[in-house]
Amino acid sequence: MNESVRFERCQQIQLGVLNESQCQETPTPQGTGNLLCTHDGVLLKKANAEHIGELNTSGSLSLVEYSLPRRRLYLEWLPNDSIMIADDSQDQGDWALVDRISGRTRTTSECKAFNTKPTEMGSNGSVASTRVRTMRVLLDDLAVVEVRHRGQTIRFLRKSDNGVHCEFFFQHGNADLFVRSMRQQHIIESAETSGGNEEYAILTTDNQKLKKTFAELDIGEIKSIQLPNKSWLPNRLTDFFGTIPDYVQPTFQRSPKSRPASLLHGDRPAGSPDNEQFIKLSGSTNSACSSNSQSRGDSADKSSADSELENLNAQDEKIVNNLPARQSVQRGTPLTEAQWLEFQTPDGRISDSLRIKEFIFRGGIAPSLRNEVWKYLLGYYKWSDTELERLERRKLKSMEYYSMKHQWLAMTGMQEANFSGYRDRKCQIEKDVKRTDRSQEFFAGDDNPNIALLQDILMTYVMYNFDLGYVQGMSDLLAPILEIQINEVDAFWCFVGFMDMVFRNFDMDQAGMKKQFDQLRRLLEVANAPLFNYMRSHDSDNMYFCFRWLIVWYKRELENDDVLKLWECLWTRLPCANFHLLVSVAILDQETNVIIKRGYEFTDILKHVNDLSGSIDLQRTLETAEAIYLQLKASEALPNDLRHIIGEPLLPVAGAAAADEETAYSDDGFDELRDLTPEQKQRHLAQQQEEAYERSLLMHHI
Amino acid sequence: MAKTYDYLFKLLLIGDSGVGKTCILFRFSEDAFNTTFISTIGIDFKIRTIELDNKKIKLQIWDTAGQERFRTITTAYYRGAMGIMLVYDITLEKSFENIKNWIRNIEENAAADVEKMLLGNKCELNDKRQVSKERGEQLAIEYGIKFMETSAKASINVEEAFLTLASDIKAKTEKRMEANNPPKGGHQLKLTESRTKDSWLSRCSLL
Repeated sequence: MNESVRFERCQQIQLGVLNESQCQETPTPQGTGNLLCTHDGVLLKKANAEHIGELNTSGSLSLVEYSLPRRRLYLEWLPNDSIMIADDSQDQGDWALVDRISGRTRTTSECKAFNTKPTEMGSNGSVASTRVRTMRVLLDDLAVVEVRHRGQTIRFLRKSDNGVHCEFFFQHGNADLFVRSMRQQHIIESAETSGGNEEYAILTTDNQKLKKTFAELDIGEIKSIQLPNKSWLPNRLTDFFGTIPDYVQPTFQRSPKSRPASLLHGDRPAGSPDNEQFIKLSGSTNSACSSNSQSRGDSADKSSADSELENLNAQDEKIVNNLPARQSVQRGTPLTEAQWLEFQTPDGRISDSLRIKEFIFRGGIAPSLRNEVWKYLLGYYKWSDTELERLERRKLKSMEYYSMKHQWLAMTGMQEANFSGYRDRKCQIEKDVKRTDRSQEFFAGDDNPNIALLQDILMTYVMYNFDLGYVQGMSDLLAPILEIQINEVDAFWCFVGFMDMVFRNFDMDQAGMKKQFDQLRRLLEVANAPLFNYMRSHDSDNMYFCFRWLIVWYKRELENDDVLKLWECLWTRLPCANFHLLVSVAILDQETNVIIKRGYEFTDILKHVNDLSGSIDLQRTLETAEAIYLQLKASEALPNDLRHIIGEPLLPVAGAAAADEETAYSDDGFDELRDLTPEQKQRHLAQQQEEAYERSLLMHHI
Repeated sequence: MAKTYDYLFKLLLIGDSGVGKTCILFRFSEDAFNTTFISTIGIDFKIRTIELDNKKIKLQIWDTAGQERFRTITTAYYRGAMGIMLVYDITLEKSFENIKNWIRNIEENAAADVEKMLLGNKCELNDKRQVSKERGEQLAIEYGIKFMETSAKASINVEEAFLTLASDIKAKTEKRMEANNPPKGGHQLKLTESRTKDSWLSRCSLL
């Protein structure tokens, strides 16, 4: 019972996305259709919830023309036989349903919850079930055809929101003939090629007629007919054809403007506190998007750098997913004292830490509150502690601190002389505290006692964690904390909390940094393919130039006040623990034009990146970073390694589908999970899903 | 676009943390000394174009973080370096002792024929001196490299050190260029010298 109720809700969700014309249109055509083109051995890979039972089933994909009640083209897929695939493992294969309310891809467990296949089929007669099993969609409701995986996969995107309507896998051969046939009948036209994928625009019925008339004159059409698969042709040839201008065909672009405004606030749960703000926001989406596209390099004026990129894309064997349009995001206001008080229970507990973190992620903390709230964010205070418990905790932590401090204070000269590990650490700290934030008033001037405080805390940290000890950069992380906490003990324990988040940055072999370079590289590859491809072709994709950004969380790039704002935002670990990497992607995103247009090589990029220090617009950067996060999150085809990076639930990979995926995403860099045993993997996945689910819940409230 | 220089030399500053690498670079590139010190994180470089024997030489000088922990990152930059400044602090014995480790690091990661030079920095702090000038000279002789005591703060020998290193690289480069590609007529005495060094066969194959 419960399941069917859920299923109905799911149906409503889908209906909610259909535009009016779709709703008025009777989905079932009458009479016998005229087969325009068809292909056998095509697996259904992604579809609406009602076709769950047919996923991974082999069938035939056709384009059918019906003349009654009037001429309409339908895309149809019919399963080859009536054998039901009830095996659970098949259901969990390579597929995903998209919840268009949140834009989030559902997890396996959720899909199971929506999967009402047995009752649905059982209650209907065989005729009805055959009809359900046939996937049929009006071609006019689709906007784009994408050919991926070297022609093996073909997917159709909805006109209403550019989301994936359905996806098919060609078991035998590829989609080449099917696509060529559609093109020759002027049903689709070539739009763009990126990352080895082909994209075609589906022409409206009227346009199809027009195209047929002009077919002989249409250079664009000649291009596309002679080049069935640009990306599979030798590069030089592609280049040659690529230079023929698109005079007749306007360059097709998936415009963010085509997104209905209702979808934008549909993304937000009703009654969320800043719903109003968001609705207001959606009105400005167009301008935000246009400025966005400007910063990403004007597609209209194709410079030599751009055409170079196209060539690269043609060669590119990796699958760069086409992401949904980037939406604009707006920051909020800092957490105020009044708001903070509201969250406190009479005994001094903090009632809703998640909501507070949301506030902080959105807008930071009022300066007067930082001293107190940072203690919670950095794990020194527990949200659930009463005021009494907190006092007790502080007392204990204070004793613990002083006993550790005593350890190094009691070190004799001889002990020190015989203890090189300790001596080296002490020596490095002495060198660094003298040159940490000395331009800040708090640390300025000769014999400033705060410098001694900085030294004492770092020395005590050496005793707290001798293996890590002290590494350059750590004094940079402590200084702002001390400046806010002032008290030595409080600053130490807050610093411990911060170090717990970033200690891998200071690995002896720099493994933690290298891992972040790899993750950043992957994020950039998907979020900003033009820049990534440019960097790769200029031997600059090692991301080394982001070293300083990542190791001290942009401390050297921002004014002190912005450092505080950024850190408290990142300390919430929202919307994902790797948000600091998305900040890098966002900064690079803003520099895309400069880097590509000026033809920067690795050294130029490094210089440029280093010189950005002091001129980064934090507000804009955080907005961009979040927008990119939401964009990646909303992409249902996001590979698992990227899902892992942004803390999203992983797509289930099982059996034959897994092997298929393996070849498709051969270099996904997801070694970490591959090395695990099945049990570990399962646990890991479960944990990932849980975390991601929590985060997505949080993000809804923001 | 016309090149604004005849040669581009990539130089590297290495040495223990806090010996004054960044200050030396700042003195050479901006002729200034900043009293608000800040430790170097990661890697950066500065550019200065100098003129030697009517040749414009663009020096791209890389500055690295000194702490041992960062060597896995910084050594990636050694490979393309044509000249390396090894810097120690004359007021810190340890930084001098570590020079041999830095030398080993170069041998493992840089080109075999990279020009090297040893600098004892902070020589204005004579009253705090822990390493005598003689020891510096002795070590340099041991490694067959040039040596100078410098002061970024008092602007002593910084300019001279870079000009020396640059001119040594220039001499080496030109020598190699002449060997590979003997100039064709119209030049001076040097020509005959280099010609005699050329093998008959190698010139023949050029024709």
